[in-house]
Amino acid sequence: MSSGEPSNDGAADHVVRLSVPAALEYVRIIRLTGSGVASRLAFDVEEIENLRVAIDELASMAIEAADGGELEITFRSGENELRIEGRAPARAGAEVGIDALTGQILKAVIDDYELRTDSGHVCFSCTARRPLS
Amino acid sequence: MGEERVLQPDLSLTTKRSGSRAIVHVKGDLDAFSAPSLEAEVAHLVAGATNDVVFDLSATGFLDSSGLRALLVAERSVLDHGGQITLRAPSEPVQRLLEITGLSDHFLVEAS
Repeated sequence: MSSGEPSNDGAADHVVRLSVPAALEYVRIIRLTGSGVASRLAFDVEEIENLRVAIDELASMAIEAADGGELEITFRSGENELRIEGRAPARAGAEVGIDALTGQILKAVIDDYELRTDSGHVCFSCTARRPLS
Repeated sequence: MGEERVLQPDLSLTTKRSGSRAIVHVKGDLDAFSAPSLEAEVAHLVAGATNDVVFDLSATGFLDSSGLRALLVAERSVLDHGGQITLRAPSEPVQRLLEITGLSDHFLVEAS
């Protein structure tokens, strides 16, 4: 489930991969995994809560556009940041868009994010950064 | 006073009714998967002539845009029947989302 070279802080430059059925009932597991990885990076409670919300919104929208296959998510930890990428086969003709309410939430909780279709897949990504101390 | 329960793995709704008033205790995660249960519960209440609905959100561990929409849909449904909804003791995750979306002042909120 994870790979990467051990580092001095034990968390940077590690990758955690998760594959779940592209169904809304599994979004909670994705949130929990994201929370766990973020806590290893010493994100604080508010940062972890923000990340949970961002992952939830993006994964839920991706699943709505997916064909019911597998959603593969990668959590990649770097120095002071966590990047999350998700990808699932898209429904035929699926289009993705972020409505105003969801966009408002995402802008408040995550540094950058993207949701798109690409070569028959629906893909999302986001990056959470910690302030440099 | 009657009591009904809707149970899902990640959410439980416990509703206590008294006359035209109902208190719905929302325990767990209110997200895109579970939000339809809340909408169904409110539709059931409105059909039963309940028009004063209090959502106790003190044990709501997570709320996302879908859960928020479910609350807005519930509000619209109850308002259409001449009633009102109240959010009771919203948990920290609920308060945060209400603040982010600017809806803190939209809903009637009571401490407990």
